[in-house]
Amino acid sequence: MRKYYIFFLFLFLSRLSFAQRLHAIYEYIPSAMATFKEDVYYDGTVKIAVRDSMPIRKQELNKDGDDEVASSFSITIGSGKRYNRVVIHQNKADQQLETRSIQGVNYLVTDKFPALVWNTDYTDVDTLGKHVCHKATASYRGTTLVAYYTNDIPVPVGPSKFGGLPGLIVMLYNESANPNYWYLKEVNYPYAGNIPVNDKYIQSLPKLSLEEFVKKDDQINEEQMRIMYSKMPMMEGVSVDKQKVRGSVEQVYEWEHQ
Amino acid sequence: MNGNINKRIAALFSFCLLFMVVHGQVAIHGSVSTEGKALGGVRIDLRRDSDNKMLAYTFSDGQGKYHVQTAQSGPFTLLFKALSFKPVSLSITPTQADTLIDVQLSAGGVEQLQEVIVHSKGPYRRGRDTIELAVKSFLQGDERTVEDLLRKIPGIQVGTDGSIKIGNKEVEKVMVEGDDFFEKGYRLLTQSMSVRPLEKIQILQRYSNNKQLKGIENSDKIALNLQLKEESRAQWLGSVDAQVVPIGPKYYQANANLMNFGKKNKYYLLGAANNNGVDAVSSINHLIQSGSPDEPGQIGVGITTPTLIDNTPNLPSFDYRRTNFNNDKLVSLNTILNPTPQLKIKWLGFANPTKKSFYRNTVQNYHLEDIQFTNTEDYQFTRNIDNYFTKLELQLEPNKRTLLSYSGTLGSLRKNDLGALLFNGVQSEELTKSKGYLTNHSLSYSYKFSERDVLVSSLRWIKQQSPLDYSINQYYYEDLFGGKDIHAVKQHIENNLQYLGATTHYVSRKKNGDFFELAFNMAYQQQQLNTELKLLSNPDELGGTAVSPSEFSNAMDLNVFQTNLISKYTFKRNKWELTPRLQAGLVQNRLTDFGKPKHKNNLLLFPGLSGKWVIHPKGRLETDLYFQQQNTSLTELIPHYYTTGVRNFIRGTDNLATLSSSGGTLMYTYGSMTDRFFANLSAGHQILFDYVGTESSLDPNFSLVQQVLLKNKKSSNYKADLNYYLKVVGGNFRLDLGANTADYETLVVGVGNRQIHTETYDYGLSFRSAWKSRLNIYTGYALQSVTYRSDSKTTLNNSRGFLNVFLNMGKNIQCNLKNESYRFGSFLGQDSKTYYFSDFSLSYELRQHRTRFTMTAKNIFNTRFFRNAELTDLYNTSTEYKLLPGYISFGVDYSF
Repeated sequence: MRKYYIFFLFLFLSRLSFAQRLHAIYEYIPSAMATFKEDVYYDGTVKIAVRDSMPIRKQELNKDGDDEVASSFSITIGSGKRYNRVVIHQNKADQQLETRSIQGVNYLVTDKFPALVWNTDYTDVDTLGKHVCHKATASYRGTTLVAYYTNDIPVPVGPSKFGGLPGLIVMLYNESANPNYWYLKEVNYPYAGNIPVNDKYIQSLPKLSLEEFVKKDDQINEEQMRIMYSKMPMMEGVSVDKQKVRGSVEQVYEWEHQ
Repeated sequence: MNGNINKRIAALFSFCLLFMVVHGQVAIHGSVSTEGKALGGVRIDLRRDSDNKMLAYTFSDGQGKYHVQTAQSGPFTLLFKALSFKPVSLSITPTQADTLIDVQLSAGGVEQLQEVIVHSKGPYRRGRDTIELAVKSFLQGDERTVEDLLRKIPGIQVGTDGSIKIGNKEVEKVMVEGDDFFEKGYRLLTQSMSVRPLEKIQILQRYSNNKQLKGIENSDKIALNLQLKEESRAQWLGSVDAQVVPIGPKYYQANANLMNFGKKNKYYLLGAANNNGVDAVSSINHLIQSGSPDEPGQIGVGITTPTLIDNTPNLPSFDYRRTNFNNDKLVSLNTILNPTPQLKIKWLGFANPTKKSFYRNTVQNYHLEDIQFTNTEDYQFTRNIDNYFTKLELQLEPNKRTLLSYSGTLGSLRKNDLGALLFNGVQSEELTKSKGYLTNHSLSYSYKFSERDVLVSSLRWIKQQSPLDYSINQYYYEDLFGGKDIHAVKQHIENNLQYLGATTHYVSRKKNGDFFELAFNMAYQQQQLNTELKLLSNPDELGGTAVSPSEFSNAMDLNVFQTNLISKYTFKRNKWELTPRLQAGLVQNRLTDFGKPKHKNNLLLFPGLSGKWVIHPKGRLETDLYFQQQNTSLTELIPHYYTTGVRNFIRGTDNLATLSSSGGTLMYTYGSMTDRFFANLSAGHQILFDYVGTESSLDPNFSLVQQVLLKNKKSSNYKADLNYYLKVVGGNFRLDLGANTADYETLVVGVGNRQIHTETYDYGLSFRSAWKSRLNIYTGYALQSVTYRSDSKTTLNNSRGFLNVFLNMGKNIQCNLKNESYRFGSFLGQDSKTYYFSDFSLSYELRQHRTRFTMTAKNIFNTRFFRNAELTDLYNTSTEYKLLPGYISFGVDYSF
């Protein structure tokens, strides 16, 4: 329990602190079907990332509405009540807190996050917005992250659980057939607004370690896959691969390594 | 002495320290503060002076403390940077292993940021539908083929049959450097091609076969493109597999393929042979029939000469390989050349000498008032096929907006059928020879006006000749033609087709997601059918004379000129989609019968409306309504009789009529495959206001069938499948229910008009397990009841049961047992009988050695005959087929 108190203490202090806050807004694009807004707040010590539960309406995203692939007739899996997803990380701490939900129930999950070892030894440079951005890569839970960061904004901050580069992450994705993209859209400093996180609510959530959460989630997903497999038409010589493919950046967790 | 030692130790220690400073780790630590207060979140980076390369970086913690280190040697610059503070840069040459540097920052620097960042490229915008993956990111060292690599890419699923899926969607094609050989038969490539020459894999979403339609067409296709390494030279790759039966009947199967992909030239060679019932051509069938009719700008797809005589068995829902006594051979050569970046040349050719045989024994029973008789047929059939086929495709892209493509095919299709027939105890031999020829050319031009509008125009020319010579060395038709000395009957058929069609198709994608299509097409089709039946009175060597009975010869020409305007608009909204469509055509028909012409010019209308509606998150409704008008086709027009086999003579209506019909379907889907409960319900109703029916004159030795124009045929169908996943047993139960009814009329000479009512009911229950164990099963039972009701009622009840067992005995060993039973209700005086079939297969894969071993046991119960029953509105039949015997084969597959 102690770890939660320490975190909330930091969270609380961070609210009170007079340190100047940075506010970055990312677009999170998990697939061509939807885009979510993700707000990241950083006060020099604690980073809080808040991802909206509802996708951005495509008209707002792009005046050219047809530029989206969204089809009204696709299969949606496991819909239900969704909450904003919050990630809280204190500088250099070896764990993060995040809110996750399964079938409409929210949990506070502790992730003993493996240290990201970034390889910044690239000469690749890209200009994103007006910033000259440098490439960096890191191995992360069964996938390779590719990030572009800017030295102009010297904060070790990025979207979701990611950060630790010499500058603010401007673009990040994972190499996969279904890449998840994060694009920095806006940055404000100093930021005087509120952080829309309800500490009391978060603290009241049932608590799980990431391993417990993932196992619970996998169990539900696996059952869903088996339901689907049992309904598929029979074809000669065809069987479903048991290969685990998660619809997120994280593909293989530390405890899953043989 | 001691002092000396101490001095030496001290000297050594100092040297080591110096060495560490010069060659070892340099560590710097300290704290950052401002106005005496600790400052966290300050970036400290250590750069080498010589090239300003960043060697290490860190951020100060909450107490302002930091620590950086490097294995590099100095001199260095230590840079302190934070928002709202002036950066501090210190030049240092550390002389100690760990240097302490404390720094005070003063306010200034970047004090305000208020930026909106505009990214010039987004993942799904400019190159929005292409995902590019670097192959080396996914290589783990044990991959051999492209398929092995694809299995390792998150999000791509490869089935054990080699099918590749991304999400729920199977990929359309796998290209190499943008070139495609195999279309849907891509597993030939992915299972044989090595990963070594690969550099990148591109996943192309919303793929369009026509480049210019990309992003405009309403496409949900996916394709993969493999990009080769610059330096990868053209290498020969391939695979061989063979399967033999060591004891008992000599069955075999062998395949070999060889390929070479260079940047500019690509080659693929394939050879296959077998006599175990497998149709070798099926693996490349998709290469022959190219062009999909629902793609914009297509015309003349599926236009071909009609088949007038076909003796091959038709056994729906029964594995054709069990009755196919064959000897198939196939050789195929394919190449793609890219002489310039704008020009692509693709050539493919194949030869397919094949022999197929089957044996059947039919009892046909007529029971219509006074017309009552039974015929028996014992038939042994052998077909020799010699097909040669070649196809050339050219694609020219002079600029980004324009695409010109040509596709031409040339085929020689030869068939010789020999049938040994015992008809009602009388022996005869039936011979059907056909030496066909086919050429099909299409030219297409696409022009893209903008990112939303494209115009595709194409022109197609087809010429086909399918002449046929039929003969039977027995005369069964004395009651029809008279004459006693006839010893043989022959029929020669000339069956020719010429087609010229042009279309221009405009496709537009609106800003709000709506689609608009407008097409104008013109087609001229000329069909010629000459048939002549000859009764031969004496063998040729005795100066045989031939008599051609009147009314059994045709010399017909059908010329059709059709102009069509097709328009379609899709309103696409969040929860619904509505597509009204209209096709209006002007048709000019000219039918000539022995030089006597008939004309008809008319207007054809084909309006329709389809819609989709998401009623609630789990429920989806789809509907389609249409009214259709079409003219009678060639086979419905043939003015005089021709024979289609031993006892059937048929002729068309000789009436250029317009047939109108109308219908509607409604389909409701509840849930999806991942829900425990998933159901599909559908209902459809169709009215043929005019239809082509038959008037039959029946005799045991012959039947004369005259096609006649009738009115109001109604048919309805209802179908439901209900699925429920039961957690306790870890599997899905599926209940299938279906009903089809039809009401129509047939005419029989001597009986008159007969009102026919048919009903077919299907019931099925099946269970499919999804157990975590190595064992899984799929089992079920289905019942079908078919009823024909006219003056009397006949019902046939059939059933089918199956049990498939899958056993995964480890990573590389899989086995599979398939059991089936067919039961036919008592029929034609025969008791109901059940047939059992069982097949077993086992495979073991040695991945490192690129080898797979297989063992297959076919038809374990050695069931040699199979009898099925069929009801029609005129007669009932029961047919017995001879089956391939049971055997055990052993095989090996090897890739190189």
